Amino acid sequence: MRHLCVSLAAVAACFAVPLPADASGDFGCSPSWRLAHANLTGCDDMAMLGPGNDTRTNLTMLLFDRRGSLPKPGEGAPPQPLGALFDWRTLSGWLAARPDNSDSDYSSGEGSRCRSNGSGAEAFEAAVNAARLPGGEGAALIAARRALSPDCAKPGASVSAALDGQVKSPAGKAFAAYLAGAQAFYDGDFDAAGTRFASLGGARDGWLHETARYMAARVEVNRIQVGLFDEYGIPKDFKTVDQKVVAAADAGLRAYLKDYPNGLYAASARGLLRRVYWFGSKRDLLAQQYVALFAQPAAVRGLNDVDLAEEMDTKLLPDLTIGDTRDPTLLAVLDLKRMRVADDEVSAGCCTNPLTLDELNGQRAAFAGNQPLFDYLVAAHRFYIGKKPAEVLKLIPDAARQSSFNEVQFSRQMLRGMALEAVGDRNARGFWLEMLPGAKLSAQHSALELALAYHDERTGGLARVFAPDSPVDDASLRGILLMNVADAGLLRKQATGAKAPHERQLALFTLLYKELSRGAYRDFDTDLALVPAGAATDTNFYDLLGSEALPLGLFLKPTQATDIDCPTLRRTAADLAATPGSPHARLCLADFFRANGFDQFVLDSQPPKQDLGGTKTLFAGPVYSRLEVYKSIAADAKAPADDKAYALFRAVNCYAPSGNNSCGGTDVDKNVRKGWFARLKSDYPKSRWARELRYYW
Amino acid sequence: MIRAVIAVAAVAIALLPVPIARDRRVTPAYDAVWLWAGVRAQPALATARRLYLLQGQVEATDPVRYAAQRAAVPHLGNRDVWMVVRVETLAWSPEIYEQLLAALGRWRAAGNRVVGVQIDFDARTRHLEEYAAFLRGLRARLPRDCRLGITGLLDWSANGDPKGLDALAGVVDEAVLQIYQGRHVIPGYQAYLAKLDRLKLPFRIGLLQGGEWQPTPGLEENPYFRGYVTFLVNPRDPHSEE
Repeated sequence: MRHLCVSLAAVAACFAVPLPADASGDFGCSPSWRLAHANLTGCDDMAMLGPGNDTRTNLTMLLFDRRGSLPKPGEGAPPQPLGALFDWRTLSGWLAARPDNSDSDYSSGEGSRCRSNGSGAEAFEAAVNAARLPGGEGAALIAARRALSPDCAKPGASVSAALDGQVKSPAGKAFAAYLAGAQAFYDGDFDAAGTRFASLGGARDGWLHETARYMAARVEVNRIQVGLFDEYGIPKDFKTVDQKVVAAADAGLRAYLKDYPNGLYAASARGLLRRVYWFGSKRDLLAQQYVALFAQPAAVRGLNDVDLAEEMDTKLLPDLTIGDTRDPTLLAVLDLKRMRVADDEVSAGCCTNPLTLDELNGQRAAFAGNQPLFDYLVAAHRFYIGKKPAEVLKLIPDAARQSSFNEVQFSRQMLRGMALEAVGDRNARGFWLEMLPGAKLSAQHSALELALAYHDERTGGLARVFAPDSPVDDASLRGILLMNVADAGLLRKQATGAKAPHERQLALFTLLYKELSRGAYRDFDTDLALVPAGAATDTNFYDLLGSEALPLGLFLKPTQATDIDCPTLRRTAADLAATPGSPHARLCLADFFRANGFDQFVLDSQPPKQDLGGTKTLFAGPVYSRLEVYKSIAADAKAPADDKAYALFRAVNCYAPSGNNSCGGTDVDKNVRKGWFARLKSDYPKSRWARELRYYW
Repeated sequence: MIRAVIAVAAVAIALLPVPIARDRRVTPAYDAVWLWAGVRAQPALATARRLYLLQGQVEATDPVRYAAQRAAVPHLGNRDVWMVVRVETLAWSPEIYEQLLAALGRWRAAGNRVVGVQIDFDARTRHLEEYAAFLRGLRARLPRDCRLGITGLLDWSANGDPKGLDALAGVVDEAVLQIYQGRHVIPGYQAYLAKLDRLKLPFRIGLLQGGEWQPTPGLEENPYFRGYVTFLVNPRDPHSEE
């Protein structure tokens, strides 16, 4: 069974859960278990920079390097380590940047100028109270502000706040002017709002002066957005944006920030400035803004690492080109994105406009002081696009032994190891082992475990993966090898000797299923003794890696009965051991598989060749197919009539109700099915099966 | 009764010649479409009568966060709109429900005919009953004139636990089952479609624009089949790789 990731969001990115318990959960996204990922899948991000990583992942990793620290699980992060392959959501959850979720009216990131109405009213009240206005002016102003309840979803003016000459003092009138500006602003009357806020340039009250300056600029930002979104809420072509309004908003925000660099609205004003540059298609200025944020701690910039990466990914990176910036971090992210190449049939045509080596070399000066990163990019280009691993070895010297790896160091050595594997270097395995002690990040360690498991699988070294001192500890990696490649001997060993209880179950389940389905009936009888008393019978086995308790008891006591008269499964296996060709025993076994849901079972297929578990299985015997069993019994002249009738009935039913075969084996033409149907009806007209079968498919 | 209908459909399959589309890239007319975040406007939108518009995403952060996914409130006049919410976790705090209802209110206030809320969640086949319980709670909070839909997984019908499927059938108005993974049509999707007769709730089939599609024999005769929804994608260009 193929693991699917069928959520809509999978189009944007598949959401993998890299925990052993869920790594191949029946419908998490399915990682491709290998090291080289030349294209974005959304499921195969790694702790090394690469074209297959999400741009946000590459960006975030580089920002950690820029700050001189390793990524660390954040407060409130899930306790599970980050695996070898993960998706952006998992990484961002692991970094656990705690989002602000305090506003129950609006979702995070939702754009509406009415959002600030609540906080604006509170600040206004505080300022009015602090101003100690004469008489009842303060109370009147606060009441008027509270009455203002704008609805930005609806066109038209909000309920007017009636002050009716209750405010007479100059200070009070300034607040009243501000209030009128705020109402005009929320009503979308930007001309009136702009005039009101501009009139407060001479206001004595500090709050009023600063806030009016900020609001005047915000009016211009909102003016840009008038008519900018189409009926679907999608921004229209930014080429239509009025650059004069962009310039006014830009000037207003920068003037505010100049006078109030640490002002009440400084973080907001910087965010608005980025918005203005985004609307105004000023990619170079926008890039500069982000680069300035790189140096700041999250608290100062008002944006955590995750939100920063997400904002850049939607606002900057889609249109940014290497001509727009000289920042090495941004260039590296862009370069890696343009190194994506199709690495399978389905992604063919994915990646137009690949980066050329000349373009990359043209950026050399921008990487002054970042030579290791630049060399890595050139090496990655030679590896992924040039397909010349030998050149990687020349560009990146061996530095496998390190006390720890930062992002670029780790990426360099991983790529060197991959190149060693690609050229068939005899010491590739030794190289991975040398890297292990320095892999301090869980995702780094898991990546090396994958490298070792992959290497051992392809060099006849499966026993090393399962040796007591094996560094390959990841349950998914070990499970994939047991399910797909291990022979009976290794499965038997792990069924009793594995440290992890789940691995013992998985090994035994795989062993028993394969013995039954591949014809090792005598061994099945012996190994059945390994099933613990009280083993589950009715838990699911669709998700062998993720399911906590596998239904090993199913082999002792099937939950679903066969449709024909059969002895116990154990007895059926014993009959087959004595007489492998026995038609009735073969039908009984097939019915056990059918009734208990083993059709198209995951243990009857393997991952793609280039992925972990994709090499030829070491388990002896052919893959099972009910259809082939039925065909051979139907063609067996010596088979009893009852058995032949049932074989024909079941063979036809393999195609019910859609015409698609669910029984494995070699497909047959519809005419053949028609022939089976006709044979059942004509040769065994009195059999229960002939009477029961009304159609063929 | 349902079994009888399916049997009749089966007769039709067995006895009638079934046309198979020869062009593997043909998708049915764009009667209903999904419009996801980051997908630009295109002509197919203009003719669609039913629009599934991504509005927000409930993210499995700590605390759980409701993140907007559409830059502005749409204004779609009298076309049927489903407000789609992508969901990563079912552990919703009270604020999440409030934010969803507030967003629904704003979309309606802007004059949109929002007929339903669609939840897009990767419900695992073995957890369908829990999912159904969650949906029952959500349904109770939605306005009475607002339907509840879900996206579904193609393997539900094949692998889903029957009790879970029945529980879902009792709580949602429709499920849209997708036949693609990421940007790719799932290999062997027809084998999954073949087992749809276990699903006893109104369903649509979700197709990928430009993706492979061959109508499966019997699908359109299924009494629960309600049509197709096409997931729109941007034309390929260097900037649409994300």
